[in-house]
Amino acid sequence: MGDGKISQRQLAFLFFTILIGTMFFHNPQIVVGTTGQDGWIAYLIASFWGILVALVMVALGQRFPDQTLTGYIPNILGKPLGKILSLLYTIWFLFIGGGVLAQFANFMNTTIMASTPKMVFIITFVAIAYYAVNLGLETFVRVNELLLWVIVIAIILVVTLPYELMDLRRMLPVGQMSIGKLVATSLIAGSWRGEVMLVGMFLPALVTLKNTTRNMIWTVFLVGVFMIAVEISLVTVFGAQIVGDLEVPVFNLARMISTARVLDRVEALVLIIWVFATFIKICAFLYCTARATADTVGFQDYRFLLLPLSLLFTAIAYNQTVDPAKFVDFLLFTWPGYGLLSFELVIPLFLLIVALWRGKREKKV
Amino acid sequence: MPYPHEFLEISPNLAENEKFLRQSFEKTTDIVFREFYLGENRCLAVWVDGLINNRVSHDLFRALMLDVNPDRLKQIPANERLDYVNKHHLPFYATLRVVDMIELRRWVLMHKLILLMDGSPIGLVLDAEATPMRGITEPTLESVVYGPRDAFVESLRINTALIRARLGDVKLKSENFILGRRSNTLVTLMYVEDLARPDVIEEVRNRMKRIDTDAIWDVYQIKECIHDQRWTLFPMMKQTERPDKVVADLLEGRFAILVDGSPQALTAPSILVEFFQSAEDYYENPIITAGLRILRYLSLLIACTGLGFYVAVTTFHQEMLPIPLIFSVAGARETVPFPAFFEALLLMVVFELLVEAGIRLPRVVGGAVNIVGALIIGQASVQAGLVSPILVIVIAATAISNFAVSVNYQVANILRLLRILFLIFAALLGLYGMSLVLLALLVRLASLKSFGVPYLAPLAPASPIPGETKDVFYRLPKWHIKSRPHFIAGSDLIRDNTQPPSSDMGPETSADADEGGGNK
Repeated sequence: MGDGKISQRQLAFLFFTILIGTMFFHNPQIVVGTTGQDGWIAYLIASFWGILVALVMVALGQRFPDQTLTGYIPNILGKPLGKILSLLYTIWFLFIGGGVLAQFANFMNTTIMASTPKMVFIITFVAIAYYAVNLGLETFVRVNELLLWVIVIAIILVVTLPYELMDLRRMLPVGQMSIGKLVATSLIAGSWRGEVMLVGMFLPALVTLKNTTRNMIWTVFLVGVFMIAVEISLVTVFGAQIVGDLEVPVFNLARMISTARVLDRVEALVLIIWVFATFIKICAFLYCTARATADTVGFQDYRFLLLPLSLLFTAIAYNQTVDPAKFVDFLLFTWPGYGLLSFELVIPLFLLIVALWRGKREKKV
Repeated sequence: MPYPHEFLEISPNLAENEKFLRQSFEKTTDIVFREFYLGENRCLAVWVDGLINNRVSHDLFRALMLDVNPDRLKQIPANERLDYVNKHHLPFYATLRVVDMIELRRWVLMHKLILLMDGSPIGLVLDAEATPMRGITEPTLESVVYGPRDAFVESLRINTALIRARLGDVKLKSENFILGRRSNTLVTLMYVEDLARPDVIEEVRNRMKRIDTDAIWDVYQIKECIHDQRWTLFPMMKQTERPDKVVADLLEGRFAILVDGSPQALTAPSILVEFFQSAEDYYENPIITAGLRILRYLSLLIACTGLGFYVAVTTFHQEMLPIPLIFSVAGARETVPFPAFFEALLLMVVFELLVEAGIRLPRVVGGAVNIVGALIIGQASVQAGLVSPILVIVIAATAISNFAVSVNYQVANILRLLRILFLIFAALLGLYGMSLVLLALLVRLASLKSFGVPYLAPLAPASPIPGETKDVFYRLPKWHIKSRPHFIAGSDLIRDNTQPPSSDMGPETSADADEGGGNK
């Protein structure tokens, strides 16, 4: 196939970007909107969900070190049932990837370039993602290694620069929300974190599986730390009430920045985070979809699938941008059940239990 | 021999050989046939006029015609006489014994003097080469403030000598290739045997052997034939005119290719960051170097994106500028009749024209271009209201940055092209368009490989060995960089065991202490 191997470090970097990418769009608004200033507790619990997903996926991957998730599902469940589930996963990748792209197009259209049609963003993005994935997994993983630093620095700047406006008293009182509500909200936040489940598609590309569990836990945890920092910054600047009402709070946060009369309104920084992170994420989802399709249908190579799948991506993404309000509704009510409670955590957990029970692992050649 | 060719044995009969050579060099006025006698043996020397050192050939004929004892020569069997002369009477440091007439004829064309003797079925090739050549001068493209000042010249032998003079390592190997069916150009591949990866060297050899062309006279022609991509904007092998750079590259496990007639060397495997490293970085305080390198990367950013950024901000993202600045930009653009993109394109094209004109023009009229550039384009176009003064500043900044970053001139030209790309996409989609170009560029760069080495190493893929980035954005002192870049070098990875310098000299015995003692 000509696909090179990736290192542990590259995998951790990749998932940092994947996880942090879209969390910035609507996530703070939803989490802070439902739990107020206690959002950080929800994020903390969400990290737990994410770590759980990572543990399950890596445990599964270690039983089938040379196969992707969609490749070994039929081995666990038997062919007819397994193929159906693999197909469902394929569709899930396609749909969620399209959703990521839709969020991005919505964001660009509503905030920075209002008069440019959403289709332009979607098409240009898919075109470059297609170009990248077509050149192989290694390529976009390497690009990510460079972009990650830009993303991290930009996030730190956006979060810390409005220090003049911060009022820590806005974080008080702590612990107003009931445990039940926090856990419920953490399921929403956890669905984003649960995207770490994609690791199942990347494990066979690793040079070595050693330390994967530890690295993935660290990645998920670090993303949690960053999100908590974002949440605290948002709440201390705006107050929980306002954050819940803003459509893309981090963007408004960047607009508040005015440091030293030079760094004025650094929306560009947020734009950079979003363009770069979304790009990597789209590449990852496109790759996963193509691999999953190839696995399900039984093709050896996945690259020739990229072109038709890119077109499907474009269509699905465009379809989801038509009604942004409906999309937020989806994120709020459907996404936890569609993400964490099924494809991300519950089904993999079920797979792991079945694999343990039936003693399935890869046959040694 | 590089190409399959017919084999023609040298005949013991000199007349026959002479006939063959004379037929070959018919209608050729610059070939010299010199007939003479050694005792009673008729001899023939052939060379290309002007490519042979006169003093040496003078010595040769004196040695042969005066010093050889005819009686002694008579005792030698006829077919061994030339060998005898070779061993006892030729005041040459390099001779070659050839039995093939075709090869002998080729040596004539490769700047050698050949010698034939009646009765001996062999020919001698004498190295008395003195190709017309300029002296060693200072580097013109890669000039530095500190560090060595010699640059390669057109003669291959001098160039290899410049490298060998700096790297007296027994493991420094050189292999010769003769390329070009018609030009018969000598090409040398140099590498340090236990540093370069054997598979890379094998690959270069194969790629060199694949070259099947009529003539080669510059390293660039080799580069185009053997680098990793059919079409690439980015240099996949580094051209340099500095011997010290080549030596440094050899010591990092790279190989170098030298071509007779080319005042540059080619080194590979190459990585992107080395095109932004000046030789001077290594002869300057590391702290200063770090600052200079950051400045260089900053100017890279400005050179590529500065113009696009101006267009993007003035067309799409006016809200990003601080209020006072937006007023001055808008005020300056008030009289400009064109959209920002066209305005920028106009001035940029004019500027590029000036640069090109400056390169092509004879030096005596160069001053005129400067006046046209500074006065007419700069001053008058602003006064006429064609472009805004702020744009002139932006163009000037990008131009200055472009020259500041161009440690390597080829990179400078690439940046000029990228600037247009960024400009177009900035005009189409603003900052988003520029990020798209950047992403596509990064994807392309990340997919490239030069002789198996990822082009963006050691940044992406980041090296698993810590400390490989000690020479990327900054440079640590020599004693600190303990290892060779492992993604290039094959073995013997430890390059430095020097103890960090310290001022620790035991108990202090300074003059002050003595004086204090004297006072008591």
